[in-house]
Amino acid sequence: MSALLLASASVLVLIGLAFVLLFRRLGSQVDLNRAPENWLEEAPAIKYRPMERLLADADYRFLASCAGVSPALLRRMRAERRRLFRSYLRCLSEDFSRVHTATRLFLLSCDRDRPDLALELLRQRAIFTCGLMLAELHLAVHVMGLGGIPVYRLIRSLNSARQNLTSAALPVAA
Amino acid sequence: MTPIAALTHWLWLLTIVVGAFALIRLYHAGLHRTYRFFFVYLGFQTLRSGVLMLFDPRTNAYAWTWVVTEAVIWVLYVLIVLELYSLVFRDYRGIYSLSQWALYAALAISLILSAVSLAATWNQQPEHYPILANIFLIERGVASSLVLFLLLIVAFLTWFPVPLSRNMVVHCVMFCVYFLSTSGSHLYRSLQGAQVQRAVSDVLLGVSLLCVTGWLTLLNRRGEEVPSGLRYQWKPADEQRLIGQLDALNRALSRSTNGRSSG
Repeated sequence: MSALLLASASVLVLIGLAFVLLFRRLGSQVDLNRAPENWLEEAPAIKYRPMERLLADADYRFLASCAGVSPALLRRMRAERRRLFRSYLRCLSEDFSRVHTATRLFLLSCDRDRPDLALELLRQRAIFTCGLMLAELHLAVHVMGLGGIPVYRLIRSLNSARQNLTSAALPVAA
Repeated sequence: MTPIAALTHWLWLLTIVVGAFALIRLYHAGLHRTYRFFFVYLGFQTLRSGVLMLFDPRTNAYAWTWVVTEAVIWVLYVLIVLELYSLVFRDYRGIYSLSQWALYAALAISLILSAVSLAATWNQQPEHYPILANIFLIERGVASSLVLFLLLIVAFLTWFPVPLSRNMVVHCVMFCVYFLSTSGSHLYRSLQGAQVQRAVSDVLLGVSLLCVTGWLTLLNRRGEEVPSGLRYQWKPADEQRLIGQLDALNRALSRSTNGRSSG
C-alpha cells in the first residue's frame, strides 16, 4: 500500500513539475515579432560539409600507413574529430530548430487551414530526429572503434530508409 | 463545534463569498461572454455550496443533492476544458487540422493513462458506502483525464508556440492546480480509506478557495490582450524558402551519417 502511495505521489509530483516547466517556458516564449528576418536567414547547409569526412575511416587508414604515427596519436585524433562532429551536430540542431520554429510561425499566420504544411512540418521533424539518432549511433560506433563494413552497412541501410521518407515529400501548397 | 469543524465551516462560507464576488467581477468585465461554461460552472458551484450548507450533512436530502449536482459538475469540467481549448486555437486557422489531431491524440492518451491509474488503485479499501467510493473514483477519473489533457495541450502550445492571453494562462494554471489536487486527494482517500475523508475534504475546500481567489483577483479585461500577436507579414514565398532550408539541413545531416566512412 505504501509503495503504491509513494508511486502515485511521485507521478503527481512529476506531473506538477512538468506543468511548472511548461508554464515557465510559456511565459518566456520567444518574442514572435523580434527579428523574423533572422529566422528567415539562410542556414547554409554547405557549412556542414566537413561533417561528412570527420568520422570517415579513409584518413585514419592513410595515417596508419605513414611512418611515425603512433596508435596513441591516432586515438587522440579520433577523439578530437568526434568532439568536432558533436559541435557541428549541435550547430545543425540549432539551425534546424530555428528554421522549424519560423515555419511553425508561418503556419500560425496562415488565414486558412493548412494540414499539408502541418504534415510536412511533422515529417521534417521526424526525419531530423531519426537523423540525430543515427548520428549518435555513428558516434557510438566510432568510439568503440567498430569501423567494420557490416556496421557501416547497417548505418547506410538505416539512412537510406530515412532518405526514402525524405523523398516521399508532400506537395507544399503555395 | 470542534475547531476543525469550525475551520471547515469558515472555509466553506469563504469559498461561497469569494465565488459570488468572482462571478460579479467576471460579469462586469464582460468575461462571462468569453468564458461561458466557466461562468456557468462558477455560478452553479457557488449556488450548490450555498444550498448544501442549508442541509444537515447526515441526511439523505444532503446526500442526494450532492450526488446529483456532482454529476453536473463533471460535465461542466469537461465543457470548461473544451472551451479553453477552442478559445486558444480560435484565432489560428492555419493550424485548425493540426489542433484537431492534437485534441484527439491528447484525449486518447489522457483517457488511457487515467484508466490505467484507476485500474491500478481499484478497490483499495472497503467502503461503508460503496456509492461514495464509486463517485470518488469517477471524479478522480475525470480530474486525472482533464489534468493530463491540459498537460498535453500546454506542451503543444509551448512547442508551437501559440501566444496566449494572460487570462488564458491564469485559467490554465488554476485548473491544473485544481484538477491535480482533486485527483491527488481522491487517490489518497482511495488508498487510505474513509478515515481520511475529513482531511481530504478540507484540503479540497482550501484548494477551491485558493483557485476561486485566483480567478477573482487575476482575471480581468486587460488580461484578454494577447501580448505578442503575429504582426510580422509573411510572404507566400517564405514558405518554400523555409521548407527548402529544412530539406537542405536534413540532407546535410543525412550525408554526415550515410556510412561513406567505410570507403
